[in-house]
Amino acid sequence: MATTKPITFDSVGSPLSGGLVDKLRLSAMISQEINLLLKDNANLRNTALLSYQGSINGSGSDTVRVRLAGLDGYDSMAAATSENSDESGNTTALTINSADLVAARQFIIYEMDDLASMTGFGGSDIDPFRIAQSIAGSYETRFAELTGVAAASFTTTAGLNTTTLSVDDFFDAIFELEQASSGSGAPGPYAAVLAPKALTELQDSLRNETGNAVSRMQSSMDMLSAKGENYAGNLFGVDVYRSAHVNENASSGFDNFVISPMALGYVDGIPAGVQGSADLMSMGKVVVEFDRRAMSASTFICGHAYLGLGIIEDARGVKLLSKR
Amino acid sequence: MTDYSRFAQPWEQKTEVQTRIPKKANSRFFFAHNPENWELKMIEGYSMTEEGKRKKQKTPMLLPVLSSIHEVPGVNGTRAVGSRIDSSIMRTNLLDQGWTIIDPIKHDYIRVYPAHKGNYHTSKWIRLEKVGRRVIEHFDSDSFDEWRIEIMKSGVLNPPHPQIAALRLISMNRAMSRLERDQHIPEIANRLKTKQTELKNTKAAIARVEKLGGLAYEL
Repeated sequence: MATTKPITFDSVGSPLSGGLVDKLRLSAMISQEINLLLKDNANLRNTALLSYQGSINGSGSDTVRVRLAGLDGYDSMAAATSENSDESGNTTALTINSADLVAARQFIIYEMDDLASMTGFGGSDIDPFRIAQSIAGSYETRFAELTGVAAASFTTTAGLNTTTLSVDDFFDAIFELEQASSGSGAPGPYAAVLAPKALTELQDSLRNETGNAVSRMQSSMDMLSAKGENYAGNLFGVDVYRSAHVNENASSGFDNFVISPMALGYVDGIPAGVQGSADLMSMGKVVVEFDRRAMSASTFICGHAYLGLGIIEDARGVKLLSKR
Repeated sequence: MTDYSRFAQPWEQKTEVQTRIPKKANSRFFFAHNPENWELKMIEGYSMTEEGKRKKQKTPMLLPVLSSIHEVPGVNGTRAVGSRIDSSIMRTNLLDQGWTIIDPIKHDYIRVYPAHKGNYHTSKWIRLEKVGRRVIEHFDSDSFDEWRIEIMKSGVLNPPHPQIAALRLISMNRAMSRLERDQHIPEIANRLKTKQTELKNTKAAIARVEKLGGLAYEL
């Protein structure tokens, strides 16, 4: 037999029916663990594909000028006119070039008030220290973003902003690198960084391949299998990476790119011996400081990095356009 | 006695909060063109028949592939100087390598939207729309092509060098030769036919530039 006044979780019927929620029970219990939202902070920083050109610390400038010279076979010899001809008028001009990499301040700042901090569950709950730890990941994301922007200035292009990425476009990019600099060719290894949509289009194009040389390659099959990380596989000798930070151009396309070593480089700087800083944490390339605002009972968590990325030798990279 | 009622304002519900598009902010950019980069487009126009009637026709044209060069402090020599962004090193490098920079102020092609953590810069031919969780982009390619034809006609960019444009034919031939062996498969035969048509039109566009120079962009 049903009672007339059951004890329920929710208020059933009239408000006087005595639901426990919000008084004796919680409307929602929050999970103990803080789970991470999807992110993409993978980049090529610690690979041989990006050339580290040093730190600006103590260098006297915010800029590193990468010196480039045509040596070790860049210039060929010539036959003398005769065995005793005076060739002093035929000296060779040394080919030189340079690329400037300028480090600039990159930042991220969070503000957290004391009430938000003190009500945390402790452990790895959100507090200024957990935020500081997170900032190290923000640096990696920024690095990937700047890599994408830098690569958008490569002169040579393959593919089009109006078509999806295909195996033909991929081949074109490889051929452009192989015949770069008037046929000298950029030495490998090559790596392609593709927007996720472009990668799926390339996989679609691979599935539709009919030529046995391509469709029966083991690496072609490997490229089609889904992988969790940003490395998608090796296709025709090119390491393929997926990145959400490939530049979106204003012609409704993606500026995917294929590079060889020394196409792109970077410089950085790390503040050291910061005067007046009471609480400073050096986390790899990033410095995190806490700025206390007692008047508003809050703490700013400031992360700073000094980073510069750029094209070192344009001929060593190709922009691989695809439709957005 | 003071009557405060004349200080009162009629109550009004705040109807609009500042709208921000659900996209990550990006930096400002400018369009630049390198003389190596062209793409084939079939442009619709009208011609007069012998009987004096207007006839619709498509003309193959090589239009410039424009690169969006973003000005981000720390990238390609760009730096923040005071409160402004100084991209002069990057611009000088581009000019040294033969690029032409298309001034955004003079040609008015940038549109700026408030976005997540700043502004989102894009071109005026991209229209953004939110559908469900996604931001859909509509690109008005016809207007973009018209604008590119205008900058060619007005001499902002020089017409393509026929030899440079012909380099495209090499990659097109390569793509066709990969298909030729399997042309007994109807789907492949169709793809091959499309590529053959594209090759023919590219050759026609190159011939048009060779014959007419800058006037190739007059319909």
